[in-house]
Parts: sequence; structure tokens; C-alpha cells
Amino acid sequence: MLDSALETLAIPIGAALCDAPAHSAPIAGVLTRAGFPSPAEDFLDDEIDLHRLLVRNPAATYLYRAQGWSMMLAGICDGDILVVDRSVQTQHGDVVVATWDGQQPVCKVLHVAADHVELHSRNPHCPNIVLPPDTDVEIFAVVGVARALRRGCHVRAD
Amino acid sequence: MFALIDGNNFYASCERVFDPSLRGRPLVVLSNNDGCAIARSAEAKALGVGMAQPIHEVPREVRRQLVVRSANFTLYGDLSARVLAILREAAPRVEPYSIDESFLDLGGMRDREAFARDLRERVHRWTGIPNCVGIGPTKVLAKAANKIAKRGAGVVDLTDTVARTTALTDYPTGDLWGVGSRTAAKLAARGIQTAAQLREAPPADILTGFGVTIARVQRELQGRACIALEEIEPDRKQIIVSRSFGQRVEDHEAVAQALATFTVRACEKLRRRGLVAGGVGIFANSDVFQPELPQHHPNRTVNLPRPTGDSRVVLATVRALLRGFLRDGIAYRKAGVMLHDLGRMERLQGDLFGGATLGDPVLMRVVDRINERYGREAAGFGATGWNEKPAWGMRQQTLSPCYTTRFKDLPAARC
Repeated sequence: MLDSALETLAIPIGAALCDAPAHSAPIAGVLTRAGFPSPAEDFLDDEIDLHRLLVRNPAATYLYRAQGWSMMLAGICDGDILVVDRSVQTQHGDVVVATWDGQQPVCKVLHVAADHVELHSRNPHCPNIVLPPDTDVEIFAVVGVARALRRGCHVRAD
Repeated sequence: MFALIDGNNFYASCERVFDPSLRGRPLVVLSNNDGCAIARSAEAKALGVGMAQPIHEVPREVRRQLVVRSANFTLYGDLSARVLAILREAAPRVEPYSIDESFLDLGGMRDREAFARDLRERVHRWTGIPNCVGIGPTKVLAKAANKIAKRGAGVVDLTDTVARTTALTDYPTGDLWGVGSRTAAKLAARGIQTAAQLREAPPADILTGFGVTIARVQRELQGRACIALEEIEPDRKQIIVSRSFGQRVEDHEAVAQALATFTVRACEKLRRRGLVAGGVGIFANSDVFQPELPQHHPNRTVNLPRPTGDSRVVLATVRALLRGFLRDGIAYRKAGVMLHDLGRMERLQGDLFGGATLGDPVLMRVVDRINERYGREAAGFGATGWNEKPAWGMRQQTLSPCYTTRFKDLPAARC
């Protein structure tokens, strides 16, 4: 046997039985029927789904990982997840991700000038980017920011 | 009225969505185990890299200019599903034909070309995948229109009979849907080289000389639809999961783990389609490209006492089939699992001695749900070995990240 075969990532969860249990029924269903029907039943809502809040058009939505602090005052931290909806028309003043010249995308605030586009930082220590006129640039709207808080590593979202 | 929409150099385009540095450069995507070119960007085609060409046969000076990527089907599958979702929203009836092309029913649509242009633009803008649309009164014509659209127009409509005749006059038969290179050569021997010539040939000759498939292509070229839109994929007759190993493997336990991994994957596919299997087969191949080595190509099949969708039952069956299956001293290069006698769970009847199926569908549903929610192999089976880099793993030296399906692989945006 190979040594590598022993280095397993598995956590055993109990013996496998090939036979189905003698009977099975959803416990919640059984209990409800035994007692008085829940008066809340007709008023049940779906649970709140953060994904639905942030992702309005799943087919056109890609997630990016923010790197750096130039958008700090727009509420975007290093390590945040940026929700980018490619179907949204971008406007002057939107937070966007932009790509040009085959470069890694940049997250900034879109500034549309008369003959060119600028990408502004939201951090006094970081410069703005002024793109020369006629730059072939792809710009998409950032429609959400997601971050999980964890003890000990307070900004990394994953 | 049909439209065919497909992504240009689909796999290469998927790679470019998230790696802008690949844009404008000659990019080649390699098959599993980094063997052959399975997608080429326009720049790579211009350098003469052929479709399905083994990469080691590409001249060295060309290879030096290429950027290569290992096939990342996780990424391509996700982008393909996005494109399909957009199409399903736009058209009432859609038939996904392959990972990168779909037929749409445009029946009753007034301005087809405007619709196609709008759809093409939307798919490109929303997903980042450039694409082309062909329109025609039949599937064969829509497919031909799509091929012509690839030359630069983006959208081509062959509904108009005059435009159609012009387009088919210089359209080689070998490029038609359903006409292979052998048939094209046979047709050429009879003086039929273009689609227009095939359309005008005496139908009786075509039927007797080439059979019903080509006769149908001929009728479709004449504008009479013979091939309908298939919205619902017909139930599979069998499911095969097989892979070539990244290297030769002699260790029987490693082959067993590979087969167990393929078994689990096959059972997942089975359950996703709501099917159960009545039989299980396995096969293994030694390295056919090294004829000087000892060869062995065993296969075995067994019927199950009752059909099942339970991975554990199939795993136990595969384990039993493996007894004495492999030979010592043989280096295996490929193995696979087949599930056959597939049937719909709800159509089964139990026999006298027990239920209709083996195993525990509820437990399997739980396992599938866990994996859906927490990622593939969050819950699994010990028989697969659970190695991160198993001896039989695929060779993927230039694999791109799974940008859209794994949090740790998200593309970065500089702030």
C-alpha cells in the first residue's frame, strides 16, 4: 500500500448500513399532526437569505476579493468580498471594478469626465487614477460588500 | 424557426474572463492530463495550433509563444450554466446542446435579428463570454448560419431564401452538422462538395447512397425541419465515469481508490437525474502508448439483485468485482466505472422478497445536500482514500483557479 494512501483527510462518521431503517418519517411532520396545528403556519415567511439580498442577477454576478485599503472611506476593507453585477449600468459616482490593458481589476469610484474616465480612491493617502482618453476599459458595478467577522482576524472575510 | 448560440473558443474565453493578461495572447486549453489542445484562442489558431492536436507535436518555436492552461471544467461548467440561465430567460424554449452551444426556438418572433443581436450583447456583457448567433428555419441551417457568423458578422440569419442560397454556395459539406469527414469525402467523390450541391442532389440517390441521416440533412438544407428541439434531455441509458491517470499506477490499492472515486461521482450523477442503476461495470487499461510494456485491459460487469442509487451498495459491488481483477506487475493508465440498466426510481416495482431498491435513498439525499452546501467531498466515503494528491490524480500543471465556485479562489480586485 502507498504511504500516501494512509494520509487521509476523512473524519469517520460511523458504520455504514446497507439496509434502510425499518420506517422513517419526518419528525416535525409527525409532531405537528399530533397536536394543535401551529397558528403561525399561515403566516410563515421564507427565512432571510443574505444571498438574495446581495445577488439580484445570479447569472451576471461575480465575486471578487478586495486587496488593499484605498477604498477604506467607502467602507471597503482589505479582504472584503465584492459583489460585482455585470448587468448593472454604471454611472458617475458608482463604486466599480475596472480592467484595462490586460491588468488585474481595480476597485475605485467611477468619475466620468468630458473626454476621459478617472478612478478615484476613497482614502486620502491613495492617489486617483486618470485613464488617458480612448483607453479600452471594462467597467462593472460593485453592488455589495460582504465580510464575516472572526475572532482574532477581524477583517478577513472567507 | 431556430437559433444556435455558442461561445467563441469557449474554454479559452472562460479563462480570459478572470485573467485579463490572457486577452490578446495566443492561448491554448489542454485536455485532461495536459495532452491535446481542446480550445484555442483566435491568436493560437493563427499560429497554426490544430484542434485536438497533441501539444508535444506543436513545433517548439510555436509552443514558446503560447500560453497554455489545463482544462478547468469546474469553471467552464459554471460559466456555461450562467449563459444557459440568460438564454432561458430570453427565449421560451431552449435546448442546451453542449457545454457551449444551445438551440433556441424563435417561433413567432417578429424581429429575429434584433433579438439575436440583443441577446448576443447581453450574454457577452453579463458573463464576459463572446459569442455568435445563427438563425435558420431548421437546426442544420441555424448551425451553418452560426458557423458563418463566426467569420465576423456575429449574427447571421439564413431565413431569407436568396441569402441562404448565396451562403450555401461556398459552404463545404464537411462543415455541416451531422456530416463527418468520411461522409464529406464520399460526397465529394460524387461531385457534391458544397451544401448547395447537396441540397439540389436527387433525394433518392442521397437516401440510398448515404442513409437516412444525410437524407435528413438534405431536407433540412431545403428548409424543411426534421430535427425537433429537445428541451428535455432523454434519460441516460448508462453513466460512465472514467479518467486517465496522471502517471502509470501499479499499486492495486491506488487503482481501487481511483475506481471508488469514480463510483462516487457516477452515483452522484445518477441521483441528480433521479435514476437508479441495475448493473455495475468496471474496467482498467494499461498504457497502450507503451506497447513494449506488458498490457492488460480487464473489464467486468455484474447485475445487482435490485436497482440502487446508494453509493455504498455500488462501492461494495465494485470492491467485490475488484477481487482478482488486476494483475501484479502491470502499470495501469486508465480506469472507469459504468452504471447501466438505468431506470426512474418512481417507475420501479418491488419484488416478492423486499422493496423496489437496495440501499437508503434518504441517507444519500443527506450526503448530497451536505456536499451541495459545503462543497464537494465535504461528506464522502472512505474507500476513495481522500487523498488531496492521489497517485492516480490528473496531470494539470497549469490549472487556473476555480474563480466562481471557491471562496479561496476568488479573483482579486486591487483597492
